[in-house]
Amino acid sequence: MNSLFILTLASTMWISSPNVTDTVTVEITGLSSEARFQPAVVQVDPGDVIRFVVREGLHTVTAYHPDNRRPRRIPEGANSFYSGLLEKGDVWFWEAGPAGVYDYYCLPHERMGHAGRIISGSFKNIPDYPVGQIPNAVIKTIDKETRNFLAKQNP
Amino acid sequence: MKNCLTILFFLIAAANVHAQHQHQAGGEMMARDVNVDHSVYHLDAEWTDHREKPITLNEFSGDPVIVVMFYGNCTEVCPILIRDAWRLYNAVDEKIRQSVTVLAISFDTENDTPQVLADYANYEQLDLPKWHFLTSNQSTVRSFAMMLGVQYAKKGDGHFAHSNLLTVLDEEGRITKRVEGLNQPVKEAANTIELIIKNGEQP
Repeated sequence: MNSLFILTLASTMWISSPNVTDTVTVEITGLSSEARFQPAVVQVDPGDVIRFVVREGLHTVTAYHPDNRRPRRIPEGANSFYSGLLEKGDVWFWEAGPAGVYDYYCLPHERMGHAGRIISGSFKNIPDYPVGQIPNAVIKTIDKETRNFLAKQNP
Repeated sequence: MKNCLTILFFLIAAANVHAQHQHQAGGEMMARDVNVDHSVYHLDAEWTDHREKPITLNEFSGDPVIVVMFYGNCTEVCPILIRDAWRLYNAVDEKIRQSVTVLAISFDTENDTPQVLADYANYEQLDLPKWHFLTSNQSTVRSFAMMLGVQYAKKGDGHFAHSNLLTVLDEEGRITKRVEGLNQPVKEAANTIELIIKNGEQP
């Protein structure tokens, strides 16, 4: 019994150790205007890995960055990213870069508001990114989902 | 014997239906083989670009041209196809890239008016001097697609099943390179474009 307790304690410490990277899952669901990242806003630590799993449809995970012909909405010094086309059953991994907020979108469904936000590090310093040439539907999704996320942190 | 033939007939028919179903579910149509000796500039038709400018294709002779066929309302692969065209354009040596023309031709002649294409080009930040988003009448677009080997068909929901193809035309409008599929490597096609430009510069 004692050995089981020690084993449980040891594994808990390993999982919660700040030096070990965590993996967070974001599911990609829905077709056309129903396409969604779930959860749309996630908070991780720099170096954590996010696992994107496609449940249905054709999607991408694309950074708001000039490399993708979009305004920059990721931290200065962070690398742009693009998953390529993902189909049902595909899994794509992305490692969180330096602390800051990373906004991203699905290339085929951007105009329908299919977008998400990754907060790397503290959620207390969310920047006011310029809207630029981004569809209103995306801004609406990101603002709404960020409000919902923050409400859960400060109930 | 007659029974065997009947069973064989039904097996073939069932296989065809299955293949067709898979094909439609994917929404992708394979590109057809093409005659690479003919210039597509022989298609003597008028087009309109997203700047409302009337255009004939032979205006582009003398320079390499990247052609991509798409439609603006696509919520599946066309944004990726357009991105692929941009990726190929960017893979060409920056010093000579200004000699490359890109034609993004819509097969949705009903919805993709010059104004809609202008909005699309602006939205995609591709309203660049050598980029032309083109439309024309249905028969011209169909004829041009056939010359490129691009297949497309309108579906019941208003969307299109279509080939995913980038085509490189040489200085005389002949097909010199094709890149079929999405997210494909483009270096080889970029090398072909650079070669066309360098050969054109030689006295």
